[in-house]
Amino acid sequence: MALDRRGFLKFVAGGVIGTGLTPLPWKLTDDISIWTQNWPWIPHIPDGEINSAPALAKLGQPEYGILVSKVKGSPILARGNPNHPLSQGGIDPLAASSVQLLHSPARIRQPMRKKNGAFQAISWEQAIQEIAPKLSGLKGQKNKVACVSGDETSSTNEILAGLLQGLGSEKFFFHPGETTLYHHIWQKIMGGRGHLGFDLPGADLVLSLGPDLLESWGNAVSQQYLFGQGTFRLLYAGPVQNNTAAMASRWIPVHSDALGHLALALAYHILKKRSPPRQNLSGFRQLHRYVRHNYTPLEAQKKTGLEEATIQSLAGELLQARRPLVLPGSLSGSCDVSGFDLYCGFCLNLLLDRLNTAGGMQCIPEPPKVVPGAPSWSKMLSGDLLAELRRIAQGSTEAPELMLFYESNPVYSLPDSKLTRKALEKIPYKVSFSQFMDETAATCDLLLPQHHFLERLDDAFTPFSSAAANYSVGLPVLEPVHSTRSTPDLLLDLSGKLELDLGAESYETLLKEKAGLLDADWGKLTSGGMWRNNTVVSQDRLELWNDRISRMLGQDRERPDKYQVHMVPQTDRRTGSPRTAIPPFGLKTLREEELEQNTFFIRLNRQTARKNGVREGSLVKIVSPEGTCRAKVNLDEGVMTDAVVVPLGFGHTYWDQFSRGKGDNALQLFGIRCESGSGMCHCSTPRVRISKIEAAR
Amino acid sequence: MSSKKKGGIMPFLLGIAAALVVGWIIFPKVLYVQETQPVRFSHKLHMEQIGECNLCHSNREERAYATRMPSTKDCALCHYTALTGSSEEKELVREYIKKDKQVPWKASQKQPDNVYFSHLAHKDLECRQCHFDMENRDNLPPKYVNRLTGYTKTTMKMHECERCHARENTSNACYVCHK
Amino acid sequence: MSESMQIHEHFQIKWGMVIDVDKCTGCGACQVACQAENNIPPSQQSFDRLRSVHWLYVYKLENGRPYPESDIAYLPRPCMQCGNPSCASVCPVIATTKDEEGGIVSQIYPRCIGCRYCMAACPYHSRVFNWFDPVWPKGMEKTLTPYVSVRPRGVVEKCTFCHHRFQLAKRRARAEGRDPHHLKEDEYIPACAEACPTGAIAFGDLHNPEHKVHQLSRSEHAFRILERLGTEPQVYYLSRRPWVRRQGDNYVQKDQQRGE
Repeated sequence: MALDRRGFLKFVAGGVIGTGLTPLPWKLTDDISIWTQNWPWIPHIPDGEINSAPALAKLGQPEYGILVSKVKGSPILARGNPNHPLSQGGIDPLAASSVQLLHSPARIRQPMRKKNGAFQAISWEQAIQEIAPKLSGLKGQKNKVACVSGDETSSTNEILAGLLQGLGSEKFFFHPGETTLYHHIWQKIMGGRGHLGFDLPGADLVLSLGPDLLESWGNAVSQQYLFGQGTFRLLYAGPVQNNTAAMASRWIPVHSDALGHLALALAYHILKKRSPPRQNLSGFRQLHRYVRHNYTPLEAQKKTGLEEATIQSLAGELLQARRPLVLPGSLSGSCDVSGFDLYCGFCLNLLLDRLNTAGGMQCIPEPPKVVPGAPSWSKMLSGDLLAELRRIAQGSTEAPELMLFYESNPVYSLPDSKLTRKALEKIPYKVSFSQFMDETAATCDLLLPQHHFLERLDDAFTPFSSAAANYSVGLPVLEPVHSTRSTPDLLLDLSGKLELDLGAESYETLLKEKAGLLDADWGKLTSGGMWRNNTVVSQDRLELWNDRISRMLGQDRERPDKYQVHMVPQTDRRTGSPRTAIPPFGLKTLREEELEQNTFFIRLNRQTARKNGVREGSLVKIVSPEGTCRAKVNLDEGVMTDAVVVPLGFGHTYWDQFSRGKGDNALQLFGIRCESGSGMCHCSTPRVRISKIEAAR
Repeated sequence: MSSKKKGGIMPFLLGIAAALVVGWIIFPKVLYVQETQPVRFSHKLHMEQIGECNLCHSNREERAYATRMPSTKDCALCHYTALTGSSEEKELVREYIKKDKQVPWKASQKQPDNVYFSHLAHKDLECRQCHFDMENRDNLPPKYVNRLTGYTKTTMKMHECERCHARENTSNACYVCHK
Repeated sequence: MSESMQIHEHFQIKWGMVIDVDKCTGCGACQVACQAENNIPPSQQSFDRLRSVHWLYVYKLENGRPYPESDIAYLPRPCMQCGNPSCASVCPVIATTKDEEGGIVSQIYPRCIGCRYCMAACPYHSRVFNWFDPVWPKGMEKTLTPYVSVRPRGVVEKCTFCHHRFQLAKRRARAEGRDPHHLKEDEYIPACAEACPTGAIAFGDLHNPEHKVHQLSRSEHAFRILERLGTEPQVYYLSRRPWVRRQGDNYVQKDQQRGE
């Protein structure tokens, strides 16, 4: 039976009708429509039980307990921990990105060695074989190995410093920041004991002289919580209406170089109205005389640029408050504060009798030491990295043979980048423990990546600004994503190879020992709790006046005429921290007037703009004696005349696509200033010049 | 004439028959990928022993109801060591319970990403109303995955949900189920 | 307004938010928490209506006075979950509706055909269109939450008051044998309200006198954005500063009502 054309058509007709009698067309139509709703390349969401584990956010200041939600053991998001006293359920935008940072494209995935200028992946065995002989060759030679740590609270520092001590070096440095600067002024200049803390929860009036305490200073999350509860009245003195000033009951516009003067101008009124403080203060009379002479209302007006009535009413508020607290500090929450400003702020608190009392400045005892060979914490905190780098660059100190970088990115975040680079180039061998390919890691010879903080066991003893001694421990919440290793355990391994005894088997035993010394319950610590102790260190020889202080007060503060505009650095946790770049979710939250394509915005008021010949949206060059940045202008009347707000956190050259090449790094405008009186080096925010860049067409 | 008769209605009927075979037998076979379960399991046997679904299928910590596949821990409650001589059971003990590894059960009736379903909200219904006759099955049904949509063969469609919600006078608002 | 248009008043529950503008420091924690919770992909751009998806945007408000009289405020803007949503009435495929259970404006992604009428209709710019497929850097898709399905290119999305948390809160209530339609204060709050360190975002049932938002929304300092359009937003703002309240609507010089 041959098939003819007619037969074939009959067959097709039968097929069509037959198909109509099957589910095929209807099912296929339905499935195609569902298919278009579920494109196979769109990722699926996980399915399974959700549980959460406590963790410790260790992204640099502030550090506090968080909760990490997990599905089938895989973390999905980070939240505040309502049970952790340093968080109370709040979280900052950087810590909220913790989980996403685990999978950042910038993560260093395994140890790497630099060969002919390029990194090559090596195994951990090879990495140890590389570093161990280098260290053992330097063992016993004085100060040949140096270390910079940007984590101020972890016990890892004791291991790092203990290892250095064992090798014969005292060159352990903390990344310069408020912790080291406060320590220097309090202990070295004023003869204080313990570390300074601030009992904000106990205060009823807080006068912030510069610190942006609702954004970048101390534990901003905890301060935001207190602010929300309305436990204190907030006054802000500073050059810009930042988040703190905007929320404060009063904003007193003062240029940043006049904040110390304002403190002493207030001291003038307090000395007049109040009897001397109960605390035994040596040099009280000299200071009294100095202030009475140099900060008369007329002088004060000249030095601060404020009306006499304003200063008087501020002093009145401080005198009337039951538990006032004055906070001196950096505008950007980093190293841009002078010893003078800190001293003046501390003085004002002392004159108000606000030491070791509820709502005042607290002297917190040092953490117990668990690595026997390590120097004391006070000793560790007293290293001055900026001074050391300056000496190395100038050749007055011999550069170390080897330098270790732990949780620190000095190439990006130190002032006077030219000097920093010059000093670092003199160091022949550099090792970074960074989790991320940052600017410093890129200049290193060996990368020994540490676990991300959610992958490791780590601790935090009394983060900066805490009101009392406290201790938190974070357990890892997941298996390491990449082939990384816990730095403290690696160092303990290495110390065995170098025949140094650091007195611990593992980091865990070390932390347990520390908890034991503090009489803290390990079980409570590791389940998201916090140990706290309100003991304060009494002071017996505080000095309000000595040679160094008088030199510090008398020093010349003039700046070159060529540059007119005060630079005001501003930190925003949405753009990261000194050691973490803009997190993936942070970038999107930047408004149109903060970042446009790859150009960031500076802020100044109309009058300043007119004076400098720029307008809203102008592309400008900001020039300081140290460097240049390119930015666009955003007019903001919340900035003092002759001041310009320059946001920090931009201009990364490594990291990932969420931060690389976004804006310019304003830290390159910063200089290093070493005060003659205090002997302390800090970041200086020099005056700058703003000039329009003519659009090249 | 005869040549016309020769074909007659036959090709037409053949066409219908071929289409029916394709549409009813071949098409469903081609449309779905069959995935077999990792371990043989008899619901019937277990129901005889335990008599309750929830012992294994609920998350006791959250007091939630019938929310999940049993975990190895649930199995280990009875099967910490092999109870019978069956080789399948020995494999379960050796490969999963002793190693504390989760059995990758394949949910043969899974809702898509955009649907939220709470068993707890439906606990007044009989399990078999949706899960067919699972409790009397001696083996686990294989998982059939639609090649086009990725849905399982027995995924409940929205009109089925809506019909029952309407009948029971429950809200049919979109966000009762969708996410 | 006619009786029929106030249908939302008859819902048993009306979820609402009261944001204290005077407590918002503009820190951005809410925005990040929102993105992580709702599987909103990261973007390689700063705010960009074309390329980056936002459910919650924080506006910076200025009082427009010259230095030193200037004042600023931050205004977080989620979806207003309007009582009379202008978006729902224009949707040709009923992909967005005013849900009677809780009064949240729903958005069903598989149903959306991407015509964007709703975006044109929404006076608050709360809605965003996915011009591109969502992309997570390799490995980061492991942080997707099970709460919200991932949206492909070609559909509109918006803030949902984290309604999946409502679903989960109902389940918890059922597990404890309580009525899922009488949730206690703070049993269901969106991710942004949970993350806010100052507690500026209050959330609850506007109809329930036991919830703090009930009182807060009736405060003399409370206002809603573009209130005079009659959209009846379920998001209220609080500010003791008259200039902030005045920016809530397009008042002109001659207006009787001045929003102060």
